Amino acid sequence: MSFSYLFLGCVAEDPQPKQAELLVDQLPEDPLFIEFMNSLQKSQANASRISKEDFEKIQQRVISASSFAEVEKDRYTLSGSNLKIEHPLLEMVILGQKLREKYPQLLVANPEEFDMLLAENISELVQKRSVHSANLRIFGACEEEFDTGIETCRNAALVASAACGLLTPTLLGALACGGFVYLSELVCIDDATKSYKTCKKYEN
Amino acid sequence: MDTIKKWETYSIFLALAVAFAGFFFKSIPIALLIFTFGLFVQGYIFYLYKKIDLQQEYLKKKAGAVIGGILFIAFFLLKDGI
Repeated sequence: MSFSYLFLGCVAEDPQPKQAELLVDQLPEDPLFIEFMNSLQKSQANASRISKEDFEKIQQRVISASSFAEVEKDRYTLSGSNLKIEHPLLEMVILGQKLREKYPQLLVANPEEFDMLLAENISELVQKRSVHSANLRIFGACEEEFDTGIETCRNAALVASAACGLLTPTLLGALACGGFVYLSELVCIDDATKSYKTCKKYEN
Repeated sequence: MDTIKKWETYSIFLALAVAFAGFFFKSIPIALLIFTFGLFVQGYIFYLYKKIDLQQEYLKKKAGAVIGGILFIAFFLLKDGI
């Protein structure tokens, strides 16, 4: 959660206690906040997919930005780079900046207060999502599908390598079988990435 | 011995079938089912070795394959974390 604080309060002023509590009633109804929360969940899922160094580079650039316009300008620079920057992360940064402009009180809340604020609103958001997603494709569905695909590839690799060890009669056989499993895993991950890209095309 | 060789070949195909079920049919339950069946086949192969009193040879060959398998499991578990 402190991760979201970074994007919302990147130019935080001196903290004053209990400011966030005042926002608890206002924020859940705000579509901008709901959009931010959706984006936060997507970004957290994506953060595990990009390398630590790349993520730190993005963080560094986001923290150094002092205004919404600057972040928006930076968005195109980052998207065009070879860092494989995930769109939701930047989208979240922009929404965070908009939210900060709309609710200046956010600037004076400390990370603990943000955690409390977001924790109180996440369960409500999940409930709303489950109602609306009955017939609609929910925001972040592509990411969920991608995660499931990658998880299946990883589990299949583990089961198949166990099978190679226990079912092949010799060490040489086990090594050949393991090589086949490794190549199959690469193909499987590639397939999942392709379907993710196709899914994103239709989502946008 | 020919029967043993035949079952061992069959067992290799079962190992490949586990990989196919997991990666190309995206079904872990089917992969596990084939894997379990493969373990029974291994039990039968061991029984055949034991019948001709060569169980030591079976265990010797198998130990190498199992070590290979464990190394692969460790590799697949750790490769994303490194």
